Amino acid sequence: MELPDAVRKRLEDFSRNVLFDRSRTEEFPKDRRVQSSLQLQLSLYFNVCFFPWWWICETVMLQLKYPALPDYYKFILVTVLLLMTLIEVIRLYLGYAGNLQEKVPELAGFWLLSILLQFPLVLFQLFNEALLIQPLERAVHVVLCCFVLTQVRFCTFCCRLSRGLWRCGTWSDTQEASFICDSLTDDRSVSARPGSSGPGLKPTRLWFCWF
Amino acid sequence: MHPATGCCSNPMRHRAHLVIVITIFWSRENNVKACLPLEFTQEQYDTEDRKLVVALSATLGLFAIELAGFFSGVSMFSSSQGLLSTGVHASASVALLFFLFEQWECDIYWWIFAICSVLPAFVEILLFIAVFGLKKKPL
Repeated sequence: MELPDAVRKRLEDFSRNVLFDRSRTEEFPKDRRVQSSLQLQLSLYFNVCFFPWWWICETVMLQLKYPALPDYYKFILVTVLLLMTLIEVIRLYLGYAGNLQEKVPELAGFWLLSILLQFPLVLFQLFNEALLIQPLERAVHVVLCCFVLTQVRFCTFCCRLSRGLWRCGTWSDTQEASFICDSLTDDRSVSARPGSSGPGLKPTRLWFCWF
Repeated sequence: MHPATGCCSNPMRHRAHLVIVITIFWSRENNVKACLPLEFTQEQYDTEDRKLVVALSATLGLFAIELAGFFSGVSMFSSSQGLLSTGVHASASVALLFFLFEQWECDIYWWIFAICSVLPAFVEILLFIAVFGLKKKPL
């Protein structure tokens, strides 16, 4: 599923103006060094695993405290829950697509959704005492907040690094994924070579490529 | 244990334990009252409350050590540490669930803390020393 062209064009412009590191003066390496971020992928993977549990906790807590809420907060909290669910699904999809396929517009979209929408909503849920915040809600929102912050941090770095090399291709061959090799072995000069698995790479470590 | 399943189930158990610890942090009043006599002074309450807060904070600190070890790659692919960690964190999650709902007294928390937080963190530190100090391979 690709982004619509108009959205893709705007996200490209945004990434060129905001996320591109203008202080980089050296040339980008000519080898096909894969720019996907292992840390971002880790964070996304665990976020995907955590998201259903966050949703269940949030829904159950809302259902339990619903009668005690004022009318306007009833409406607000139901809307916020629906919005956060929708944003989270789109955000995680864009993060996976952008990171694994090295598509900077998707990563820029993921970055924007995380920092402009999801992060303020999580802070609203965490710090507005009028919502009758329950201890379980505090716990799951703290975890979600940590995920969002780490993803924004790693995505910013990843976008700046990959801006010079991004291509709008599809991920054709996971056997070329030497990015895991680079991150998990000592040999940093390995570039993507078809048919090679890199020094010391174990096939089980490619589970990050599940998509 | 297959490394892939270990890598998914271990952090999930860890997170379940973390969520319950944070939940108890914010709703510890009943547990503190459970380890006080029927008639107690504010001073006694504050002392017991402080002890429970220290235990919960220490748990969070040991979580940080385990997470640091996991994400640095030291114990991410270690099957035995993964099995130990999954087992104790799952047990801790169930025990703390009873601790919360059945309003167990706060002394019981120290047992859960010793077995389910100190032990995996201690093994994590041993692995740290083995990998970074003695230069053994992480796996």
